[in-house]
Amino acid sequence: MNALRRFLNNGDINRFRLWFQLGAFGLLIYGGFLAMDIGNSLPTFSCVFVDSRAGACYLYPLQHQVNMPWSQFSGGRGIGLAVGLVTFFLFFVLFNKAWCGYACPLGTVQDWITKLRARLGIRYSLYANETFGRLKAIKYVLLALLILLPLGISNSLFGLPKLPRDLATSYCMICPGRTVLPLFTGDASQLAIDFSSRTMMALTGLGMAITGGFFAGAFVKKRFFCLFCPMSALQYAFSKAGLLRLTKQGAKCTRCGNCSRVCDVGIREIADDVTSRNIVQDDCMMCFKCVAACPESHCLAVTFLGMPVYEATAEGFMRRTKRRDNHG
Amino acid sequence: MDKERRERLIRTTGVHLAMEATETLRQVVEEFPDNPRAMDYFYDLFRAEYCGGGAKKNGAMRIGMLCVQAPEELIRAAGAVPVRLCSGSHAFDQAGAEFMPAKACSLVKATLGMLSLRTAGGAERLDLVVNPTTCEQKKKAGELLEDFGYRVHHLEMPPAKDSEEARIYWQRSVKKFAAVLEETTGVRITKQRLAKAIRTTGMARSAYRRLHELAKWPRPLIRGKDVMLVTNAYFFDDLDRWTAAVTELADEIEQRRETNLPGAGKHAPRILFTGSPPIFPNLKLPLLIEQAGGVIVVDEVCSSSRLLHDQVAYDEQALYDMVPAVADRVLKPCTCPVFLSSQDRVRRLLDLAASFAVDGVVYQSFAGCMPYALEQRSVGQALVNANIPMLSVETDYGPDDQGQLSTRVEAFIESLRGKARKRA
Amino acid sequence: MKLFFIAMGVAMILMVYTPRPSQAELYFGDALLLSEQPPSGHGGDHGKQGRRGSAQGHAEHRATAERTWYLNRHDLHTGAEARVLRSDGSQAAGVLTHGKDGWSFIVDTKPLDGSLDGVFTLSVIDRAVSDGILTVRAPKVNMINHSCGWGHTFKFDQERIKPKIDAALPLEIVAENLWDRNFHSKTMSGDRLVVQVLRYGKPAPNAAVSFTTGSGWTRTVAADEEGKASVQLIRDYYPETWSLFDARKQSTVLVTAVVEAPEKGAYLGQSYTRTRLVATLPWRYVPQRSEYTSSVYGLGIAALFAVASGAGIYAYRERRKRPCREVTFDERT
Repeated sequence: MNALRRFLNNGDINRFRLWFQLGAFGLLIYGGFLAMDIGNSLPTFSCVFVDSRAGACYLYPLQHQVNMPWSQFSGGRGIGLAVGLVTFFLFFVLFNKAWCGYACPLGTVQDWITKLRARLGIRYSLYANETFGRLKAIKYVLLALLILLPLGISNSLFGLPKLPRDLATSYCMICPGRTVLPLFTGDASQLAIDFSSRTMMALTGLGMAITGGFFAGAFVKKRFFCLFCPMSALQYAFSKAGLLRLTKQGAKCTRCGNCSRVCDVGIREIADDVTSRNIVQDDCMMCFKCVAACPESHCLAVTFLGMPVYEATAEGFMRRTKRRDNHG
Repeated sequence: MDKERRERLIRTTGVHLAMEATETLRQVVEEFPDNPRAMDYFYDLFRAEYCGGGAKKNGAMRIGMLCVQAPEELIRAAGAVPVRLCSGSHAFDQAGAEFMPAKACSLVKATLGMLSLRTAGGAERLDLVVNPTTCEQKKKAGELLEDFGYRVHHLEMPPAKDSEEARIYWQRSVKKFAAVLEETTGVRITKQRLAKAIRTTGMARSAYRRLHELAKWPRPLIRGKDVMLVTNAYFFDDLDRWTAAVTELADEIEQRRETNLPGAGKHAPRILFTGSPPIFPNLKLPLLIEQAGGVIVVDEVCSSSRLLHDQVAYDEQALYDMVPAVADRVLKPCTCPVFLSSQDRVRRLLDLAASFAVDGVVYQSFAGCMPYALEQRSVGQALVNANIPMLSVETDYGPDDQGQLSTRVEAFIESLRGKARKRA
Repeated sequence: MKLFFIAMGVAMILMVYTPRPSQAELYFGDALLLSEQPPSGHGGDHGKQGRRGSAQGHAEHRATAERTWYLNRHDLHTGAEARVLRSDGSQAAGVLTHGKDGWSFIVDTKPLDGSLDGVFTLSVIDRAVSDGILTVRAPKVNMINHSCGWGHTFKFDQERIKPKIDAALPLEIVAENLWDRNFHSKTMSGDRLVVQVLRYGKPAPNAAVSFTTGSGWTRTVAADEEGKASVQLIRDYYPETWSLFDARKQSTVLVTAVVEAPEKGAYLGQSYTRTRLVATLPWRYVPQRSEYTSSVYGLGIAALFAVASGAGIYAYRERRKRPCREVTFDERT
């Protein structure tokens, strides 16, 4: 047991993650060709606009399901909504936010763009603390809108007239997942403006602008889009219940900041917070790069049901440093 | 200073330094039974450095550093050899007293004394001296060094380390330092060279950490006086040779795990040493502790664990990431008392005390060192709250207080024996 | 950040509610056909929450316990039979009842599991003899029984979206390629609609096949040797202004096949000397996507934003190369 644990702790989770992401990407984007279907409530951007996907991003059915009159919430369709939410929750608690770091196809695409940039030797950008704090609020706004807008189609909210039906999947229309991910199956039809109505024109126009910004942003900022992702906001609502966790023993922390330095999202609390045990923040994607970069034994750890799965150790840290240098 | 007087000073200082070093080495080597065989490398190294007129230096450029905060990886990546200049010699302390205020701390006086004479301790040939602006005495030392004719780079440091501004200021400062290094050595700092420097220094630190970890063993395996000699050797020794010697030492210690440390049973009080750094030949206080029967299992001083504990991690193998990474290593985890807050140091001490099953703490502050003296209160309070006894000692490099200190240290160690017995 | 909110604001303002005119009466002559709307025209059970602009009442992708279809005429004769061929190939009895909405045809769809996920074929056979002619009317409709909640297990199973051939039908129109892999109907104006006319499951060459749109445009062609006929669907939807345009507007095309033969016989005691077979199959199509989308504009906007952001970042970085950034104060306070 100890030998196994030591083997795991000495491992390079980044290398593991690289391959896992590739596998997850292939599965979620092309799994449909193998008649795979993991369901419609995945807590990750397995985009419904990709025809050969193996399962669907929960945000799409969620927007559809809340699009019903108040009276139906207690009926069969209300049950449908509840079943969807519970399924989402069950999928989610299993791996917590590691869905973002290990499975999300759009996240993987961003990581590939980052690799390209690093290879070109162009430096990454960082947000100042203050900017970071302001930007991270956007995802909650998007989450609120993606629930309120469909509700406003079937119901009159705040005395306003009912909203046009074209807002049914408004978030999907502006999500870069819709425009970018189908490209991997050779489908470029989403890269277009839909002039059929003002609503669609505005949404697809915004969507294309965001797509442009996505490529520019992801090129200079690691995991650029994740800071705005409403899925991340929705996940964080349940994150405390996650079985997979990222924990920290503040006493062991020297606040050297290695974890924060390698963090793709740019979370500072991981280094500076020495009191919280469960250290998962709302922007965290549980990639566990921080654990691999932590030189203090048992300071940061990945646990599943309280059992340590991958822990920071001084020995593991050194092995990774050596191995990395040998690989260039 | 006229020439004749200076030559006399150089001569007498040289004699005194050799005497001092010989005496310290005698105590370290002979007063304790059964030293690890692998320690011979270090004993010989110090003998050659201090008593044999200095080891032969190779041809690489030598860059002196006054504090731990100069990122040595950059110096190595620029093709130069870093030399830590802080001196522990009473002879140099007296030489420094010629031009320094009487109340200045021994370490600064000794270091400047050494640099003013340019005879030994690594001061013979320096192409650049890096002076991180840490405490006020070190800050002011920079100008004096320029007067002595050294080329000095003042590495500007922020007074705090928690704020984003401080970090950015520091990173910028280190980036400028990198440019100065390139200009000095004429060697470009490339990502390959820096990666290699990070790896080799990282391996050295790992070797040290292994030795450090072994001290967690319930019975003491190695004495603090030996560990301090090992870490002091890092100041000037060849990096690869040092790493190999430390690895050998750790291997030997590991094999000794089943036998008691001779002369120190399992009831020997385990001491955590903190405060002003004990630097060879001034191992006065550590030696007194261990002569009295205590064992220094762990320390938190900038000549030892603070120098070697922390590691560099970077995300992308490119200078834009690696240079800030090596900058961060010497700022963010640093527990030097010059910073605004003492919280990190307190947390570090409490963690070390807990994980090394420490019975008591010895806090050394050099007479004249304000930062350590000022932090004594908050550290002492935290230790009291954690129920860990602490002995505060104010001392200097002089031998005059030896008798009085030995009485206090013996009494402290004696008072810890009961606790140690209970623990074991 | 600011730009983002401005863009969101503009988008919201643009999304004003535009009322749409109500559905016009469809023109399909006197052919007997199955439809989701009762003949009275004011919506059946499912039509109430009908989709705006939709010619059909059913929400295609929602599981329901049963679906009701209506015949557009009241003149069914005794002995008319209703047939249901389910997606798994099995047969079920159709129930024809006459009520205030005329003849309705109710199909049970097993909503709880997804075992019947796929295409149903519903048909009615009505026979009558008058003036020595046997007239057989066989209206048929294809219905998708699907809920996304069942998942898309049959995504790559073409059999499930291929209408089953009912060899018991005297005359049947089988349309090809109506749904995409997600079981959405995919026909758009400009597409070629290909049908095959079968008599008791065998190709019926030379059958007269007419394609009629809701506004009365008709094209009649003769089926080839294999009984196949096709037509390019014309756009049959011209709203007055762009703002009234609805991309989901479903136009209906009615396919009618007629075969006349000098077959003799007797039906319910009445003898006849000629047989006239009429089969109908309604289908629907939406405006061609390329008519209202533009990739050039899309890519243009994306490129503009990518270049603008890139240039912004580059300019910012160049500016940062200056040694120090000045602190500015707000002097107005």
